[in-house]
Amino acid sequence: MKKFKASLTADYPFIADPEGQLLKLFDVKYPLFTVAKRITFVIGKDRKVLKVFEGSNALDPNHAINACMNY
Amino acid sequence: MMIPSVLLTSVLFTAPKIGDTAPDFTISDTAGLSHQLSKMVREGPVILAFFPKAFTGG
Repeated sequence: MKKFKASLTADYPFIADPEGQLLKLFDVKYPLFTVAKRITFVIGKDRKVLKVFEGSNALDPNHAINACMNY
Repeated sequence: MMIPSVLLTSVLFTAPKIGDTAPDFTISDTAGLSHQLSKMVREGPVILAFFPKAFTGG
């Protein structure tokens, strides 16, 4: 995981979630399937959800970054 | 075919939506540092991205 992070030269924290703590909390699993969705949340002040990007929209981080610029 | 799948998703999928309050959490990252959502949002917007099965072929 650390190697993977370095390979992306990402300057944000990476979280491994083997127990699915965040998955369950945010309920980003399809109940009938075992796979989780690819989903990105932009969360603002007081933990208010500002934007949600799902599926192919979640692949491009620029959507989320642009959304941040507006707040 | 599009409509049933949209309905199915909206009924069964209850992740936070725009305007909802995201659940708070405290979790450690790969460097061992602890992160609490309610603290991070005070400094600016937080991007929380889920990459399911990032280390598998799936």
